[in-house]
Amino acid sequence: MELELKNVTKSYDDIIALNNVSFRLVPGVYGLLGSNGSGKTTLFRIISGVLKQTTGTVTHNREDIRANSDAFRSVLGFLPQDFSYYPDFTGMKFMLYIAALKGINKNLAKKRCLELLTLVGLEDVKNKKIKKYSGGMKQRLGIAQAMINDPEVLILDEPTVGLDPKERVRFRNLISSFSKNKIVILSTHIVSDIEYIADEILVLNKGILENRGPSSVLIETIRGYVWETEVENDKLDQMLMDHLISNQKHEGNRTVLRIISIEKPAPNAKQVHPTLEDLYLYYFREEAGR
Amino acid sequence: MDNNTIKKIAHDEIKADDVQMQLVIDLGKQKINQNHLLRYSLFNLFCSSLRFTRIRTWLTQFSLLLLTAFFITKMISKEPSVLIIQCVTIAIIFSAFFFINELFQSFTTGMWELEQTLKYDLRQHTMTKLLIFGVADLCLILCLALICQGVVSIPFWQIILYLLVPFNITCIVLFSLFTIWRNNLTSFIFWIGSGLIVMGTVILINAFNVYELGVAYWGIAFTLSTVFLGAIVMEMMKTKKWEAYY
Repeated sequence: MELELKNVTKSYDDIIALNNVSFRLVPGVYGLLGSNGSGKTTLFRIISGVLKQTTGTVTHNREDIRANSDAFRSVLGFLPQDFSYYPDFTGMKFMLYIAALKGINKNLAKKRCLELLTLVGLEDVKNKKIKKYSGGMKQRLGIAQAMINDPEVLILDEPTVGLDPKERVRFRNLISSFSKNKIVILSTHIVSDIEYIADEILVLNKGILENRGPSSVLIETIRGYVWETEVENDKLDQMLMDHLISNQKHEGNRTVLRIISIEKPAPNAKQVHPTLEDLYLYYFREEAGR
Repeated sequence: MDNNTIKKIAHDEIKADDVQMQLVIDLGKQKINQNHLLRYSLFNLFCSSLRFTRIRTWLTQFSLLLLTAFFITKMISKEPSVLIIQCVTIAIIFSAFFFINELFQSFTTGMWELEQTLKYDLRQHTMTKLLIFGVADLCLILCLALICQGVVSIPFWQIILYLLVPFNITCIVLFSLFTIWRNNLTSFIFWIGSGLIVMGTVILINAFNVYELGVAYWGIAFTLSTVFLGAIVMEMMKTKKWEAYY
């Protein structure tokens, strides 16, 4: 099973949202890392068939998803970035509705919906109207509906927004258990969400796929660029202006700064082991004003 | 295998491999599920659309029918026929609003993006709902026309024309709104558009004596509006028109 994008470009008038993106995915969990406006949502909309690409092809098992859209949608699960719902539906009714439109048999749908609602921790509120759910509950419902048809390709656009840490751990475990023989692609700004579960990370910057690979491999690309140094508080402002700061920790009248820099930023700076968050800041440093 | 051998093994218990049995059962279930997913049934889609239409919508339509029927029968000898037809026309237009509001729920609630990715996609689902609500509205119009016929001294087919022409025009305006603002349609835009239609209708039927126009003109208006509405619906059914644009 594979999903392949070849030279996919999407442009709106003068704006190029995606620029010649190509990649091939086999079963596994993929994290799509990118800042706001990098093209993540556009990419997901193209893969899920909501949006048509300007040029290029998207194939699933070597068949164009547009030519074979009915079959592809049968094996697709999608959570959009702005997950909407029918406010008067209860959680269970919403799940049954999605199951019906995914072509699932009524009896099987009821069983599957109950299973998924339990998995995401909504079994106690399944008969409550969605408009009365909290933000986290709505998001969990969104994740559950994406998985109803046991999809081969699962696309989750910012699935952990609004989830508390305990719910994020539950989500990570859910994805890990689900992802055997499936292609799961999820986008997030919360780097730790993909650090632990993604087999590979794709870095999308201004519509261009800048890099891909396991997080350990990607992190190695910035080895030697991450430093820690202590500065006096009166020199702090200057350091903040001159360098890309990953973290700052105040200790009395000094501050420990974690800096991303190709050159040594200060005489007393020491190289430290980079993290995925450092990688994110390194790639998207222009958005950070550096 | 001779009879002796058969007799010897007759009472031997063949132990089942439970693990393999469960594996086969699981594979079978998986295959059934896959078949369900790949199966394509417009009848199932029709039933699902009917099942998940809000009860409130059907109750509203039924209440509208009952209220209008009650109102007409109460007005039998008291009011001119024209006023009765005008009231029924307004009721039909409201009926169209409620059904079209339900039809466009996917857009006004923002669900369109998700529904576009489902097996029965947004186009198929919306067209199925259009069929259901279209037939229901026609039945409503027929019922009201039959009730009117018993009350006013106008032929049945003439009443039908008086009701269908404004109904068609209402649908044309609302479907056009949908085409222009599809992905940005909100309840607010929908109901503002609907309010403008009601206002326009009331002004038109009061300012101009439209019911004094010859039946031939009504026939032409019906034909033209039906053809135009048909063209809009055919345009809506085109696959390319359902792709998102931002």
